[in-house]
Amino acid sequence: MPILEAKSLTKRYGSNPALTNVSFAIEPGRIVGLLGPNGSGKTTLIKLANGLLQPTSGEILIGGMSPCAKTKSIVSYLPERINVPLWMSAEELIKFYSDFYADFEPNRAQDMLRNLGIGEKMRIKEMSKGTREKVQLILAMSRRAKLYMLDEPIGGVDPATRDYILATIINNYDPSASVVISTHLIADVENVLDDALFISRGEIVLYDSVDHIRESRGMSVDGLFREVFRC
Amino acid sequence: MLGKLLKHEFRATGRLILPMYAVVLLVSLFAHFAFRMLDRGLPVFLGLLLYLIVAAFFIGLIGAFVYTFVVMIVRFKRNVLSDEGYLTMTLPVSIHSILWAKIIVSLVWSAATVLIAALSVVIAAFEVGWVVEALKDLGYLFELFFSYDDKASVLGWMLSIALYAVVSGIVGCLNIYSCMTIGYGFARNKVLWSIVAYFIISIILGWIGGGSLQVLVSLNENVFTSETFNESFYQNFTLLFGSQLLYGVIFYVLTWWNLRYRLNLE
Repeated sequence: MPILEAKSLTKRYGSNPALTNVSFAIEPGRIVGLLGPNGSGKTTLIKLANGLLQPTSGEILIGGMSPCAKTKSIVSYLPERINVPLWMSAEELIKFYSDFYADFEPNRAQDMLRNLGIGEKMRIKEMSKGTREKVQLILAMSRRAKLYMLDEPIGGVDPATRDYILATIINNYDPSASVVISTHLIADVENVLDDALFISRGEIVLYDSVDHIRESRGMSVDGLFREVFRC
Repeated sequence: MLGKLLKHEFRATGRLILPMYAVVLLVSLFAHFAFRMLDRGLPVFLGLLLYLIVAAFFIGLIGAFVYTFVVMIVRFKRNVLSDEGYLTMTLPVSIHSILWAKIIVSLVWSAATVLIAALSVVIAAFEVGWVVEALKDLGYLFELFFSYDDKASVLGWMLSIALYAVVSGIVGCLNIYSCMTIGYGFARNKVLWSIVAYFIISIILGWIGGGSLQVLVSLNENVFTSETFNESFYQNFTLLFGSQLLYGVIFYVLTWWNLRYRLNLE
């Protein structure tokens, strides 16, 4: 059974279409790049999968279920913005996650914080933007989730941090789980992807394995992206 | 999961409200001495300072309620309708649990603020003689209650009033939450739309309430009065409690529906 499936999924904001008749299925154990330019519908798709938006028509399923409390317990979501309470410390956030997520591993989070030299007692509001993003990523990747949905995890951070973030994702996800990484920085993520899902103006324009794209088109995913989305 | 939500809700709000309680009690302690020194013919500067302390005490009393109310609203906005909503609304809990956690915590802090305000008045006005008088009055009240033939009725009235106060508190919370969820469903001017929603809902409910009363009175002109006080009490209680319950259900469904289907986090 696909871990994430969209069936004729459409989302409109008023009269503006954000997603139009989108259908795809992601099987367990895949790392999928949700690739598209800004405003293509990537975040809308991720928010729909997390129950933060409701479809105008069609459906989106997580392990065969519509988004609900049960699906939220198997999805680890990293939004594109800082969503943790700024007054909390990293230590308090670890307790918070431990309380709500049965699959959260506090030791793993503590190890990653230590490796990065982030003090557990430090409050989020005292951290730089980059450090806050790292803490959020650490929290998201310290879960043994079935599906990780990472919205622009490498947007707005320096190249060294990008490498760290990608390494954290690769080293910490369960191989039987799936990872969806939304980004427009293709070159940085290309090497970790199994599949690429191109989205443009709310429509899926390509969904294929990275290997097949390279073989059949004779170019990298980044190259194809630049060709497909040429201005 | 409701227990865990409550724990974190109390922590998040307690860190803001408990220091306020400490300040109110401290000011009431200063006010206690200020009250006693006001008529002692002190120099102008000192007298002015005492008046300022007394003013701070009264402002603090009102401020405590306003602050509790503001914390309740800001907490809902930040934790559900703004960036933290990305975390709160993706927790593996139902929207019902999230809502009840907010409502229960708001009610508890509101009740605690009433108690703190009462305590601060007692501290400010404390005198041995005064306390003895207050205890005497309390004893008289108990005496009156136990000498009353129909104790069950008095207990029933007291419980009914307490129940009404709790339900009214819940309805008050839900009224504000529902308006906020309406306002924050819009793409822009979210706060303005929340306030507009509050006024529109208040006007509509005012019309419905007034119209319903007219219909009730036209059907039975003795709808509010009866032969005995007990019967009149329960007649009025049923009407008021029923209308509060109805409003509560409307606000709850509206809030839940908006969070479920119209949530539009930036």
